[in-house]
Amino acid sequence: MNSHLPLKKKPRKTLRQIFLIPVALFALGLFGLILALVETGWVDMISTLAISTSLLAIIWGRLFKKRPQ
Amino acid sequence: MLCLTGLPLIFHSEIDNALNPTDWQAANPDGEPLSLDELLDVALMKADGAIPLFMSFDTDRPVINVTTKADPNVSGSQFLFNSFDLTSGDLVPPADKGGKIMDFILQLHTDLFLGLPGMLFLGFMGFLFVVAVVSGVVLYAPFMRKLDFGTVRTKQSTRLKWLDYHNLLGVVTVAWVLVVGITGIINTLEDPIVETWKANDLKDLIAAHQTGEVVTPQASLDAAVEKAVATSPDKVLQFVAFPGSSYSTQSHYAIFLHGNTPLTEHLITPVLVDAISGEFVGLREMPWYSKALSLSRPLHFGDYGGLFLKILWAILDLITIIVLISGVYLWVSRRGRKAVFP
Repeated sequence: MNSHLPLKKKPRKTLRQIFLIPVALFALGLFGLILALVETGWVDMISTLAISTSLLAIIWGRLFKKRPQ
Repeated sequence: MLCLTGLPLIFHSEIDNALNPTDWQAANPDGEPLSLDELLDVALMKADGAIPLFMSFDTDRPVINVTTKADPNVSGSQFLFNSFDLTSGDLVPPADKGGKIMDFILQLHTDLFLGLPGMLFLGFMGFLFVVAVVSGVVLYAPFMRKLDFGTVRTKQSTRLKWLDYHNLLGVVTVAWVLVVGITGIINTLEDPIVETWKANDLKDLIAAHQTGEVVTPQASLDAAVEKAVATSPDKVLQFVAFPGSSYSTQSHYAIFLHGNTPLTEHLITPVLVDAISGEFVGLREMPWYSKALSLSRPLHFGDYGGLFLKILWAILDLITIIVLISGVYLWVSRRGRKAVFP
């Protein structure tokens, strides 16, 4: 029925769109790595969480994201 | 190889503890600790006339460690390492089961058993690794122009699937990989950095007091340590290098202090005290490049933030191995495609 409709082209992303999440993860990871060096005790948990965001991003990408065919 | 050997090194202390379960208790846990002079006498009696080289302190139990050597002027003479109960002077049983394996892994990771050339070679490999990571970030953009972050195309070709995995795993771990890579490069420069520190910043301090012969210490070690700590009240004792050792002069106690905050505990300050007269000779704060080296060690090995951080370090290490292997796979499969469709 819709076979004659033109294929919808996906718009090209800007550098800002491409690197927004990676830069945020980079900043969080770096913050966590340095925080653990500067402080100790319960702050270690915060730094571990900050570094863990990269793993959470992978889990989110694999489990919750809609996969393209 | 570096990722694989680095994995057990992350859990170095846990592996040591597991291989050496001990129910050792101090003889007088609530008693007064012996003085350093008393403990040194005990150590020298056990070492049968050898001279002391280093004295260090366990951080988690009342134990001191004394390294002695028969003759400092004879190269290759045997070192003797003994641990003593700080509260009684009794010998503490060695906990070195598995130590040889861990030392083997550490040396393979550090210098490939080649000494300085091996370290510099691995440093150069580390530099290439960092260049590869940065180029990977640059190449990430053209591949992701039409894809959302986190996309993995599992239903198309195997190559596309691994390309997406490589991009995703690589880009989310960039901060950790760069920190571990760059601090690894700095660690490979340990020998040149220490030599530069000795040749520049410590030269005037050592040269003015260097004598030809190794002296036999006569001044009280306790008094010398007290004097050293008094010069830097915000620091605590880390270890002592005796005259004739590689970290001291021929005639001084080199007393190494470190800071008492999580950050400054990695930064050391050597204080020289005359081993004959007991007089304070001088101290030198670390220059910036030595501080960079000291802070690079924990940032590289990940042993500064508790067990959770170590587990995280291990997971990120495994992810890096996957990124490296998938990178090689993509490169090889691309060459194969080029050969078929030039």
